[in-house]
Amino acid sequence: MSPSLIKLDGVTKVFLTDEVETHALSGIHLDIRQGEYVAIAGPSGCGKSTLLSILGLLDSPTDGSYVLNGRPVQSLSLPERARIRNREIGFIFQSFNLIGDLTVYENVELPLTYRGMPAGERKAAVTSALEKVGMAHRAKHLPSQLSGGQQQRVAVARALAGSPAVLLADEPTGNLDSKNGDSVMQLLADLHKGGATIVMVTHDARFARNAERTIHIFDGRVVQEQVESDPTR
Amino acid sequence: MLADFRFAFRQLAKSPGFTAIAVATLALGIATATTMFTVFNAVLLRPLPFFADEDTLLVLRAVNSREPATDFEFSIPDFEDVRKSTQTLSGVLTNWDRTYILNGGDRPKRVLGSWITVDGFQTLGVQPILGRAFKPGEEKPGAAPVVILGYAVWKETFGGRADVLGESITLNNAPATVIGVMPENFRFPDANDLWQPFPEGDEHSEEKNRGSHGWPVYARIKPGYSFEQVQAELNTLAARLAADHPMTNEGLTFRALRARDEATRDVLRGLNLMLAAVGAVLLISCANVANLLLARGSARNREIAVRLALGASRGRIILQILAESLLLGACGGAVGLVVSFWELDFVLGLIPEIPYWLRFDPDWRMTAFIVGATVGTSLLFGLFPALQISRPDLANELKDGARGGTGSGSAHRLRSALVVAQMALALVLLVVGGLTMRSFLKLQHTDPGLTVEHVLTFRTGLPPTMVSDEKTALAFFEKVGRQLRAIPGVEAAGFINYLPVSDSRNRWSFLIDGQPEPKSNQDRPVALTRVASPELFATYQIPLLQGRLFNEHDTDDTPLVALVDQRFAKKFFPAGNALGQRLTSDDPGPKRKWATIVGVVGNIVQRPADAEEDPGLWLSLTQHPDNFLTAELRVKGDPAGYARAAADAVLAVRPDIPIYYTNSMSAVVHKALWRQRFFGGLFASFAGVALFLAAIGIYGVMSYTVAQRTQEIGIRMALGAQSGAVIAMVLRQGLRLVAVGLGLGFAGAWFVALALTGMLHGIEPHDPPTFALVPLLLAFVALIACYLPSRRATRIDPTIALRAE
Repeated sequence: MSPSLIKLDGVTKVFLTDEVETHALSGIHLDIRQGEYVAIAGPSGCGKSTLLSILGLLDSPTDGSYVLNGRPVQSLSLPERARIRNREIGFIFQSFNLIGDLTVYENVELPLTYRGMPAGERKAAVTSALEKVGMAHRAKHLPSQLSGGQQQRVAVARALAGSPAVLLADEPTGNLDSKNGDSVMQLLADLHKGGATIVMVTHDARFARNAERTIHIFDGRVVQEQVESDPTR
Repeated sequence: MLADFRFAFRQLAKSPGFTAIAVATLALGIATATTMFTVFNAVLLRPLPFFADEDTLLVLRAVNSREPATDFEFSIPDFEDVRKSTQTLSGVLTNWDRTYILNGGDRPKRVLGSWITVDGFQTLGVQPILGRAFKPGEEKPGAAPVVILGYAVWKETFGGRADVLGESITLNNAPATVIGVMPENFRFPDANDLWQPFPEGDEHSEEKNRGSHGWPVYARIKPGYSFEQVQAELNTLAARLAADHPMTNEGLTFRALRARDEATRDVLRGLNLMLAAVGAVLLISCANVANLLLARGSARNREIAVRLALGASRGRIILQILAESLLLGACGGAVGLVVSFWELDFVLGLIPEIPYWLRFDPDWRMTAFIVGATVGTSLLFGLFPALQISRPDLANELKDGARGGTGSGSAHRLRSALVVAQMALALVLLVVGGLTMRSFLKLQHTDPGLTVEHVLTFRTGLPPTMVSDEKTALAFFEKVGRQLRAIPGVEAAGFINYLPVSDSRNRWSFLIDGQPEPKSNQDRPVALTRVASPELFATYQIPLLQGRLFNEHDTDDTPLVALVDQRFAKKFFPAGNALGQRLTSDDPGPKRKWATIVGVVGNIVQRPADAEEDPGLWLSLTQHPDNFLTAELRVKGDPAGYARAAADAVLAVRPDIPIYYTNSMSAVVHKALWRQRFFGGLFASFAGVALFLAAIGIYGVMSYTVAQRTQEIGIRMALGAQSGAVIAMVLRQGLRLVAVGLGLGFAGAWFVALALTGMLHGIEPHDPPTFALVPLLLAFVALIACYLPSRRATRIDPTIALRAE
């Protein structure tokens, strides 16, 4: 069995707004191993995006522990969290979140720049990532010159370029038509076959079935875990 | 970092409107600051040109210990005693400005020259560029007369010929050999263009003139001695002279000042205040741009969040935002620099006579200032927004459908704080501008006590070497007066020794007959003394209030007469019995002469900037003849049109005598108030800029707030809110900030106004109209700036606003 990459133990998240206390996550236990493809599913407002934010170190848990790649990360300093995000995590967002004023190439290059990677290595990594997603021919275009599907491919390339330990995808097909959605899902499946660990939030059962395992969340709790027998079908 | 600058450039290019407003705002602030720093640098920081080692170059002044706040020049006997006795000074010099007449051209030409003690240039540490300085012995009686030319005279009158050295020229009808030419622009001590050695044994060095002060003294600290040691020695010398010459020196002390301090003390406070004012303008500019960046940053929350999610550290994001600020700052600095050249020309145009030692060309200090101002302002306006923008709520911002730019509470507070600060600073500047302008206007509208309109004034006279005695000079002026009065259109013409409403004056210490003889001259009362021809009072239309004016019967053969003004009469003869009283300025003894007061005339203004004028005393020209006088002509129409005829009238009497300082009296008054106009005008300009920027600031913030509240306003309107209610809601929010800003600004202005004490005329630093009206003006402008966005809010279509969600 491959080693554990992500381990959550009793993670809770409470939002305090004025006098209202909202429990977004309540005692989440989760273990994701290297090379796994995990879908997090649940209805709107169930806490799945909050969970992904915590997994991506965009937010921190109110309580509980989070071990990423063997290292407790729940109470790291902001700069250390940024460093881990940069090296260990690749994000794919529903709305692509490409920077409109940067070219495709520059968008993909961005996390590598923050890593301080030399220019030569950056170029090789960016080119390789763009080739993997079939967008190398659009390297000089701006995001606004691409279709939604193409933009999401670029976002995937950006997530891949730094060879992260895990890809976190938040409703990656949510803003795409079915054809482009299928294409992106196929891309993720291919990446998974290549050894990538993927955690994807989705409310679409069709896409959740692409994952090896689906974790169902309701009212901030894991209510069901479902292992797909043939995730590629 | 290069990528950050590249991205910043793209960002700015993408938003030309934002970029233009930000650059213009910064350029306005940086240009104003650069202009004033250029002046400040020239006056206070740059090494004095020409003079070696300026720190050891001193000006010595005499001080009456009864009036320690004011100081004055030396008498020649005191100067000689200091020069002979000093152990701490390596050189002591004095000079005496003199009119020189150069003949040879179409018309005689007047040049202001100076007698300077023979080692004066060595003491100053300046050498001729051609020839040599004076040598010891050239000041002795009987020595061959020599002259050193100023650069301009050398170029204009002698064609810049090198062989002018050794040439004998005629100055005031006397020959002198040219031995040197001074460097270009060197015009020591003020605007002088040639120099001769101060002759030894001049009548002013006689002991009887120890009480006659009027000679500026400069000195050089001897190597190894300190400024304090010089002052201590001067104290000792003054005490010794007071013991030796109690009548003239009792209560008299000497004060050493560094040459630059002396040259700049009249404008130092004004300049410091000015620098503080432009600093405030710059701060307001920064606050404006910071607010613009904050508003813009709110719209970029998503981008920043993505960058942070991808692993950028907060420091890296801050650097990226600062790169944009630096780029904006650099553009603002570049535009500001260009604008500052124009501004400097404008500012210098307000100064009637720029001292010859001031240099305004760029130097390393200016370069450092501009770079410092650009980088400093960039950091100042960029850092707060960068700190604010670089900490978005990552999880929320990255969600699909996140609105972006809703503006956090702390960002809102920061924007509000910036507006409050702008309002407060603007109010302080407006109050200072209001006070200085009101002071200037008060001065400008002060009745000078004499007719200013349609009066032409010029100076003329006979250098002592061109006349045998003072009676000849008197006869010359009488003839010139007749010629002037014969010019068609001239209604009256008279003469006076010191031009009224100007910086010049002659103070005379005197004794009233019947009062006890004071131990020392320092205990005598002092009056502003003017010598005038009988016709002057009609020319200036100065009213006679009691007794009579001077007339043709007042001659050197008749008893001396004097007129006094109302101030004099009121101060010394409050019972109204001035007529018939006798005065003298002579020391006790058989040669003492008394002048009888024969009339009381109206007050006139001598030095408009003085808080309180000295009482005025008038002496008759016919009894106190002088070689040089100022002529006054009251004419029909434009005085300038009579200048040529006036010059011809003098030439008709003496073809070798020119006229100079030709001006209308209105121009004289205008020039006399230049400092007040300069400071008042500039402070008012800064205040105007501050008002404009503050208005833009509050407008920008309120526009942004309205844009952010579009949905809320839409909901309110959907629920039936009337336009008035929406306007009131937005206005309330804006005016709350304005009120806080005005409150803080009012308190600040109250304290800052105290710094203007002594600089204002006719009003108090806490002038009620200024403190009442200026906040109202600012509040009114702010109200408009808030009203415009609020009116826009009422035009929001509720359906569109709600769809925006």
